[in-house]
Amino acid sequence: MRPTDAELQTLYAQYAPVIHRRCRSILGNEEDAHDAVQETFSRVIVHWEKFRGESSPLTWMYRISTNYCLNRIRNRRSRADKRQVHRDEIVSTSFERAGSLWEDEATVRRLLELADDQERAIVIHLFFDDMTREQAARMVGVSVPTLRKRLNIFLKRARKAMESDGFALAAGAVVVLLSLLPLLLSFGEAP
Amino acid sequence: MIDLDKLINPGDRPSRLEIGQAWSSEIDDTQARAIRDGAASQPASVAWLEGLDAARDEVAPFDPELLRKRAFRIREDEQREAELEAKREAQPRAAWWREFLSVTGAVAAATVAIVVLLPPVDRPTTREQHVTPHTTAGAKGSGAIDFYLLRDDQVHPGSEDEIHWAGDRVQFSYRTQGESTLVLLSVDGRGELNLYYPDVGDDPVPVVPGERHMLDGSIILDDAPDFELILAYFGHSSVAEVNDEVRAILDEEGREGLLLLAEDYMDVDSIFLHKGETSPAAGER
Repeated sequence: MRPTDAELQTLYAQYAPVIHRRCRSILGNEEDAHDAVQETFSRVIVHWEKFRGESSPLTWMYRISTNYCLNRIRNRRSRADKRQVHRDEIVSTSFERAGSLWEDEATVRRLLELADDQERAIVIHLFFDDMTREQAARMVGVSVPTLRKRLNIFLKRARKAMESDGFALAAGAVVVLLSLLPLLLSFGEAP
Repeated sequence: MIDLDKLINPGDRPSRLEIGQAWSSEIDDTQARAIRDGAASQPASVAWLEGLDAARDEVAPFDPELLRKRAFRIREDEQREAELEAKREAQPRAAWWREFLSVTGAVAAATVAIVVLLPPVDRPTTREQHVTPHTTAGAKGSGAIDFYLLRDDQVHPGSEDEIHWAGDRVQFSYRTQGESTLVLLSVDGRGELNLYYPDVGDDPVPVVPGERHMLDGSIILDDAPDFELILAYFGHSSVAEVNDEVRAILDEEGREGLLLLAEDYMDVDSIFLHKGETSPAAGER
């Protein structure tokens, strides 16, 4: 069973802008965002039966596009010219700066490359998707305490990298990172 | 300065997923209205909602042919991956370990022979100390890698002498004396660097000095043409340092420079895999 072009077009009009916008935010460029949309909708075709059974198609597409983003981030990590790429990103203007929870999303993207896939997914859901801890934990499939631990590990590693690495990180990001540690300590106390 | 209270959503505003569900009319009007109301007082949420409107014009035009072609490739990849996984799981464990033990035994025997036959040599231990690069070729001892190959249902010790193809699955083993870390990467025929161990992060993977050990996991060769040069760096402190060195040598001296590097220095080993253009069994894969 395969979707018709008309069915696909309806879904595309309904969801493609959401996926595009989200992946551009996470990956930081238009080209990757376009590719993420293509990948997500191609997988909708491949897994059409399963997709039709989903209560929230957008949540399913979020999972697919998260996997795509994780792969892109992983591949970037292995590129020889990544450091130059990231210097470029850091000095460029983030197109979402005004509406972002972060001072510098490019720096967060750089930090994501230090993480493993589960940590990346957690950071993506918390900070790019603006989910609560409970929502992010559900998306990743871990408990809230586990999510807190994984995030803590990520932040420690990121701080270490920022202290020892020579690349030009924005000073604002250092503030963000260091400031997050006390916030983490209050996780257990939050209702 | 960042407002820390807003860094992690405490539940006082809808997530961007929920905003997306409202925007795309996935949920009913009442729920959508509640989400929009919840977003209205949050500047970041309002900006996100406006961004979704703008994204209508930014997203690529709908092209069903393109999507179906890509879906076809994804389906093929998933099938191939499932078949390879099934083959790997179907491998008789005893046969694998017989292979492994026979190689390990041969290596141990060879090591004993070398130790007995060779007079003591003051080998350089660092790159700076290494003043006569070519004199130690063939007498490396600090770190070495080998590999096993899974192809057409068969697992066997790999060899640089045979031609390799896209789809071949390779698993590495290592042996090191004194070094406790490893970075393993490759340069392919397209000149691209691919990092395998570690798969993420800047810290090399820890390794156990002494006898031969298998590395967890395996890699599947892609369709990069001509060759895949695997490089193993033992005892280095960061992936970035290794990456920079490999890139610099590749740019200045090409792959021959990397091969010489692996020959000349005890802390680097390499495997050169010749890649065939078209597998004789391509039709079956």
